[in-house]
Amino acid sequence: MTKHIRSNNKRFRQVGFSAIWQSRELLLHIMKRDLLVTYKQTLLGIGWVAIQPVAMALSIIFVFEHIGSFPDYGVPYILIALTALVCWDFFAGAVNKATTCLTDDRDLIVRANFPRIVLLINASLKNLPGPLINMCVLFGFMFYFDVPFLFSLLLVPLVIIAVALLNLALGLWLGTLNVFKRDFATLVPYVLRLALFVSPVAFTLKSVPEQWQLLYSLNPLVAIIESMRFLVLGESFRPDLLCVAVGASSLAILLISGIYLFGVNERKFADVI
Amino acid sequence: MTVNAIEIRNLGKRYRIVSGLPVIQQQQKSPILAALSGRLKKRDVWAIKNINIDIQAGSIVAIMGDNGSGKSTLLRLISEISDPTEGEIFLRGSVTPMLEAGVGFHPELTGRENIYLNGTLMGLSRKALSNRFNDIVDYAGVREYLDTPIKRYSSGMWARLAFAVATHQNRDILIVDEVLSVNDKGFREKSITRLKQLAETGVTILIVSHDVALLNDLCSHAILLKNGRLVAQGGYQAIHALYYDSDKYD
Repeated sequence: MTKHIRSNNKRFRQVGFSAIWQSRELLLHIMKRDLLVTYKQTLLGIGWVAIQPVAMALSIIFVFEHIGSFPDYGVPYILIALTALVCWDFFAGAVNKATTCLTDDRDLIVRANFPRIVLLINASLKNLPGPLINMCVLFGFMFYFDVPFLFSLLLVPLVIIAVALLNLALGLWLGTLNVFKRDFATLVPYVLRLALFVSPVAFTLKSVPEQWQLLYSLNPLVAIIESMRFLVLGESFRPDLLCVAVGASSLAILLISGIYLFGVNERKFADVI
Repeated sequence: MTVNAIEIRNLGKRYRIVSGLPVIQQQQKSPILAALSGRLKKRDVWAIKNINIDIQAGSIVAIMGDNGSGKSTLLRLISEISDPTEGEIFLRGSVTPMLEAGVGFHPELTGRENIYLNGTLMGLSRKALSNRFNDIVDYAGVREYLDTPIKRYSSGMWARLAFAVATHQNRDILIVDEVLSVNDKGFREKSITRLKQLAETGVTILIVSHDVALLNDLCSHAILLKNGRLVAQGGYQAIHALYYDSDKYD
């Protein structure tokens, strides 16, 4: 078994499915590390995983029940917001983490040779318990408001997978860029705050003027959140198929270009990080 | 007939560094302006260049040289952590994908958790790790402290655990960078024995250490680097004499 390392080898390495599959145990241990380390030497320990999304949901409820006045969608507004929040929380937490995950683990990158995409996969799944707990809160409110539980709920995991892919796509982009220029670590939290207002979290696609809807759907979160509402709240929220198709294509392009950007630059990480 | 485990041909690694203040900054303008106007003074530095080395399988090789002579860069290229700028490396067998023992150890995690994390980073499967787990623990002598966060470990215990994980894997080429320097006498003897045993089974070992006594006890061959150039390679005693006989070296 001879291995040949040569200069000017530009081939992608360790970004293929087989490399990722072989590193699944490493992925599990890194996920475990991040989970354990975040909550070590705390009083509530792993309980924080549940408390954070519940606290977020409660604050949203307060705002929406007492302050805001919103159009009538036929179901209590809180359900509209919570369905979106399931996706948004997962998305925002993961993208924040993904931007800095490579520079945070600088030590590993300069001293060990392993598939670095594992760090990004780990980051894009960060906070995975979050949406699950948000779903439970949502179910609680659906029960309270007597909203029927539909069979389409069984398809919700597909939406969660779509969010995870979006997290990975943006993570590949932002994580790679942040290795070269650290501006992104500072920039991303602000952009995310802005993105909260331009994504249909607090409103629905119907509130967007018709001529802008297609353009607006280039944001993959539009299709994701609208599909989520459709699966949870039913027929009256059926999304426009064209909008979903636009969102899916935009997600695919982001993901493929992200893999390309990461693959091209991954060999330089140890030298510039 | 001896087989070369590692053959290095014409290897070079160039880094581009910013050196000194940019011209424009000396004229009291902002660094942003300086960068935009492209006047940051950049310089190419060859960390290593024109390196040609053959290393026999089963040898224990000391990589010697002053700080900044390119020892770590060489190891980084061999373990594929970074890519060479020119030249090539042929490796017969698998290389430890890690520059130092204990990479990725997290102080908040317990000994057990760190063994698994570090082991999987080295590419060991869960099964292979489970098979070796007891050997690693006994070798490091940390059984009582397995469920203690390693931030509570003494530096000796930490180093022993790192060494134990690093040397309990089936790799053909092992890289050991400054790991044995903090250990007590007993463990030092034990680790020398361990490395020699590995070498006898055909494992090639590359060692960087400033601990001369250790190298004396251990190494059969050596490589001497100076300012990124190969000065000499060969039997350990000869190279050692060359390095420490400063008249010839300088």
